[in-house]
Amino acid sequence: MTRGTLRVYLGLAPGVGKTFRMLDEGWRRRERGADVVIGLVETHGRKLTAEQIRDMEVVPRKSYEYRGTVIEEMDLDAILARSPQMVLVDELAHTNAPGAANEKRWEDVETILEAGIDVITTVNIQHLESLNDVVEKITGVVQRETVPDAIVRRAEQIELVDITPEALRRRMAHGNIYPAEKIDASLSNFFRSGNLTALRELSLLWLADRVEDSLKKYLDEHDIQESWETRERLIVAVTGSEGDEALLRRAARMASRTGAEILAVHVIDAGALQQRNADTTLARELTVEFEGTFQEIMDEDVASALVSFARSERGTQIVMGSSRNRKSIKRSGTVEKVLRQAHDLDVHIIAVGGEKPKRTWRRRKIGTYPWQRQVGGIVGAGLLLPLVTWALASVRSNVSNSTAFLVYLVFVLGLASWGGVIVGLVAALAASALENFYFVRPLHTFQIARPDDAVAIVAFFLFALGSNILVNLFAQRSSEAERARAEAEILARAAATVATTSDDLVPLLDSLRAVFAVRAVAVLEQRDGEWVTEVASGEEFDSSELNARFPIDDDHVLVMVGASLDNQDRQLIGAFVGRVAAGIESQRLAQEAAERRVAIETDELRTSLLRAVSHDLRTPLATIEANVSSLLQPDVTWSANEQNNFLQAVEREVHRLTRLVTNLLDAARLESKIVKPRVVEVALDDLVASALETIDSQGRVFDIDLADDVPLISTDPDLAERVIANIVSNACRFGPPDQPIRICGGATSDGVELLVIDRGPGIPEKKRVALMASFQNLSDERSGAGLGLSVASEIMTLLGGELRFEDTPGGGLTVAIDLVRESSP
Amino acid sequence: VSRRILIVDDEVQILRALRTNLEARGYVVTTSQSGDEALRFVRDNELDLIILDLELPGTSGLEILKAIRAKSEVPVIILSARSGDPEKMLALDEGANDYLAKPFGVGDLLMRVRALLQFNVNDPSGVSTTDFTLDFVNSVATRGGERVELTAVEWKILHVLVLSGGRLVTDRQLLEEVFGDDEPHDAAHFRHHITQIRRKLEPEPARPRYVRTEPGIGYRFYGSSASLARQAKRA
Repeated sequence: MTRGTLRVYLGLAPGVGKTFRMLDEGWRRRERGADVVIGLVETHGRKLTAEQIRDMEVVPRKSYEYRGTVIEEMDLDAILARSPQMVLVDELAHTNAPGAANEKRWEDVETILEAGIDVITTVNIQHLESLNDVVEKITGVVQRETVPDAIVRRAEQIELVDITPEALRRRMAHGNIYPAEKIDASLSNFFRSGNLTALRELSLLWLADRVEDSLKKYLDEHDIQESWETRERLIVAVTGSEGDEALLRRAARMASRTGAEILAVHVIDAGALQQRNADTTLARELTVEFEGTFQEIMDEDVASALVSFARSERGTQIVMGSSRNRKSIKRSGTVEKVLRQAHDLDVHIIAVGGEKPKRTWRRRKIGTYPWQRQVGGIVGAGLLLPLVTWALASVRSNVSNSTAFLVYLVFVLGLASWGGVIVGLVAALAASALENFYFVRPLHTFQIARPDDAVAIVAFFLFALGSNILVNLFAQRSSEAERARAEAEILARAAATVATTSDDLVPLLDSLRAVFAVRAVAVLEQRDGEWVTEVASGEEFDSSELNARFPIDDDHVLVMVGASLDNQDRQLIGAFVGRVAAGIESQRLAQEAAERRVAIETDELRTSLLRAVSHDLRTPLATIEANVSSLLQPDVTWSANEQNNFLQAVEREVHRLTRLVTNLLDAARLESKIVKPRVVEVALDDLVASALETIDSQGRVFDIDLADDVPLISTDPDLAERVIANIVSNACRFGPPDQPIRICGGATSDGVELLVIDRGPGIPEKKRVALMASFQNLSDERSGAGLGLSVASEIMTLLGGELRFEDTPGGGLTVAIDLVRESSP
Repeated sequence: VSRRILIVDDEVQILRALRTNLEARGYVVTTSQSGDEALRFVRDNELDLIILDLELPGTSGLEILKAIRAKSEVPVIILSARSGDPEKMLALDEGANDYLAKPFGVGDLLMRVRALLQFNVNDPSGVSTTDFTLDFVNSVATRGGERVELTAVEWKILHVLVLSGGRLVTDRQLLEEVFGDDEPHDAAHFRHHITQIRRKLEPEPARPRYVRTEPGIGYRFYGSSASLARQAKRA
């Protein structure tokens, strides 16, 4: 029997219209004569969907009893027995009741397909197994029901039921998706516009099978901190040779497969500074083209520098080139060293055809000659000097002693510059001895007959020794000069990168850290006698570790951690300090300018504030005065009841005035930035209870629904209480008296959300921004509310939370108060 | 025996209103408009309660509180000008027994005065409200005639709160009395007990009538004086 075909309607969220589209397609097929039945359709009480079923045949559901409740499931056996051409099955990811044949509905669907029956089904993006985690991170809603991607991918047709987030939210607001009483914090969080956009993109990408590429971007854009899948970082070791291009292109291909990031690094060998014809221009350009970053570091030990760079930059793989010439691999040793040190890092060695940069003759500092070369030099002396002696001795009759001495001198100096001072010393001693033995009379003894011969031998030795030292001193000087030149070049490049972002100090510190290969670089500022870190780059450190300090100005120092700096390094850093000082100065100026701007804005705000509230202040005062002066009228005697009415009016207006003045004071203090929140950990139910005590509920009923698992909130309880009181008292004033005000709270992915839901007239979307932006009244009916809401919004910003206005499904305003949860212990 | 109360506030109208109210309820009231005068009075006279405004000209309320606490344990109620005033936390740390933010209703003040003066108003062996009864001796709680099960920690919390008879018990005091000084305790866990108590005893747990809170400061038990407590706090 041929397997049936599967058609899937994929939705980004509940309510996009999958079921409707499925039924629509069912009808289309049926009208073309196909035998179509409904296996299972969930209408969720949505009227349009229910109407769309019309008179299509529905296979009755089967009931299962589980722990005393009856659960209805799709009747698989009945469908198979009915054996239609096509069956419609809603919600592929559904989990069946215990006792059913299969655990999951998609398994039922598989069985139906096996039986040769075509299936149309629906599934939401968040139920796809591979996206489950990321959807949870985006929305904070845990989805327990999943369907393997492969099942959906195997479908003959997958159709995305697309809808714009705005349209979906409108549907939600009209109560087309869920009835208002079902909305709670987690659901409203799920339907946030940003979340819906992310889910929509995710759906499109999943269809295009390109989710991996863009995942990191989503998480970044939606400020999702938790790394659900750490991105690979490829450290590419470039050498400044022609092979770099092939190496980088290869690395870019590897990176594009895994969505990795490229960090190209050029390690300048500080011990081989004459090898300066490395040209990294091309490598830099390519790196930029591949959207990577390029760094240059200098170290004596190339391999260790590369590995420690990879670790400090949290690289996951190292890509390095190796010439096809086997000899050169063997000789360089860097590859082997990297492999030995890399441990947990993957190292890819790419064969590149490019020639190694021309080797120039290297010179080494005294004491830095490796022992291999010193031994080699001594062995060379042992071989060369006897050979020279033999050659000279065989032509002794034609060669004067002084000629022989000069020939020896040439070889001694050659050996000295190859092997260093010690080799030179050994060679000079050996040459003196050989001259004495073979060329000074009496021959073949170490005795010297003539005094002038003795003088000649001693002079030869001293001359050989002196030249030896001079040759090595020269080598050392030129090496130092080369090193200085290289560092100056790095500095120039680093400075050039900094120039583009003039007042941001971080890139400058980053490049300092990279150039001098230190663990951390920071600028400290002196405040009240304490040194406080102002900007830092690199690892965390504590003040005991500081091992290099460079004063910038009276109040700032530059510090480095984990540095082993010599005098030259210090001088170089001195050059950086000037730039840092300039950066700090420009930051200070920018800050002053910003402060001045704020001062002007504050002035303007105060003016508009006064204008806005003078009406609100005068009204209650007028009422109070009218009532009190009535009571004090000498010519009337008021009954007890009348007196009571006057007094109640006074008390009510006093409450109103109190609230207004509190808001005004808060507004003024918020604007002048003198409010310092006293943040403690409080329970949401305590906050809500306390806020409700402070308001005049005007006889409204509250429907309070706080989740059990709400974490504690980190906030200033007085301020947060005022926000809640403001929002709830607005809801009391504008909601219809016969409707309860819903207050529900729960944990979201990153905080705690409290929703205050009224069924009043709501606030049109375009007015909301204005409402939050400054102190203004929406209209005369809402007088005072504008101030309360904008104060609430300002306070929430101060508390690190947020105030959001949304439509209540079915009409009304829903205010979401996002609070900060306690920092996890 | 009439209880003697000293009110320190620089606002004559407030002094007059409070004096009238307190005297109408049989207390002997002395008023003072300056801190230094108040301190002299405290030194020379026996007092049962002091109502002290934090914002006074000259010597500040906090300084006066410190001076009083240096030699006396007389109950002190602080009046503070703003509800968000950080000074009130300092004052509670310095040994003030309760606080009230201006503006306030007289009902709230009288409730606090009564709670502080009638030290053993509640029979410590039990408490009975319109909604539930607690019998601390036999550890039996009933609500609407039905038995309610409370955990040991919940009993301890209720006992501390009920014993304090409407006085403010700060979070720290409550934690110390329930768990002891050195035992480590988890704030979130502790709030959970409070929530549970409310669920088990309160008629409307989300708007507690008995186990009331001053968020971030402490708790108080509103027993028989519940009707007064229903008066709106003014923000």
